[in-house]
Amino acid sequence: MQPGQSTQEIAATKIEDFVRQIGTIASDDPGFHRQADLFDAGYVDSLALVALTAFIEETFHLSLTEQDLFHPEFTTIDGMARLITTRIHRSCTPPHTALP
Amino acid sequence: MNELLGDYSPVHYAGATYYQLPQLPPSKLRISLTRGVQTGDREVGVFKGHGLDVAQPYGWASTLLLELPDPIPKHTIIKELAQGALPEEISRRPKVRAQIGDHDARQGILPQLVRAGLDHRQLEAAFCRAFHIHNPVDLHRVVRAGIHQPPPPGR
Repeated sequence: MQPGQSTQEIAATKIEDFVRQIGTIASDDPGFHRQADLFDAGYVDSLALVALTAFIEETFHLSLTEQDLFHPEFTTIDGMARLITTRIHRSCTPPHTALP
Repeated sequence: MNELLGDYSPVHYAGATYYQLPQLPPSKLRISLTRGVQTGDREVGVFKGHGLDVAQPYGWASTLLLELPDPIPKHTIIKELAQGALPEEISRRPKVRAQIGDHDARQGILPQLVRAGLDHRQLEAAFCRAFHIHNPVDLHRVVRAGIHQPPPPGR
């Protein structure tokens, strides 16, 4: 972990590394970036998504719901990182300061 | 029950491998497989289509079954759940996947499809037609990781 890195940046880096690994994506693939729709572009299929889901749950100690898998944010690496960050912050927020 | 215990393995038939599974430890694979069952009615829907109400009794113990440690002694679990109501030869019988049908692979859906020359692309196209999904690319908006939701309207 680099000093000053945000939770979201760390999450995005970990997800990107994992997707590159399971998708055997070339390091110079011009279509692969953190805003790319992983499903539309074919970088993640159903089998890979099962592995990715398990990776996220284990790495970030959270549970993804069925709704999460179809959430519009859950199509890109950055979106997944935002969802994870929100979930982590929500779980760390004391009940009396929780947002409505 | 198969999903809850992760009792699945890829099927090798006619020189190809079908029903591949993600490379996951059994404990995580069981959770993913069960998610797929929970969102669909593939276990009971075919019976409902013929006017028969069917219950999946193992579903009532799903939380407990998913908490079982690996490896899962399936025969022992089934025997315990049945509490003597099942003959030993039933709980110990070798598994034959419905997709293959029998040991000679004559009756299952997979041999039928292979013999008919229907591959996954044609099945996807049939699925899209049945559910009015006009662009096959939109399939992943309907099915993800074995979980499915209704097609988005107007696509």
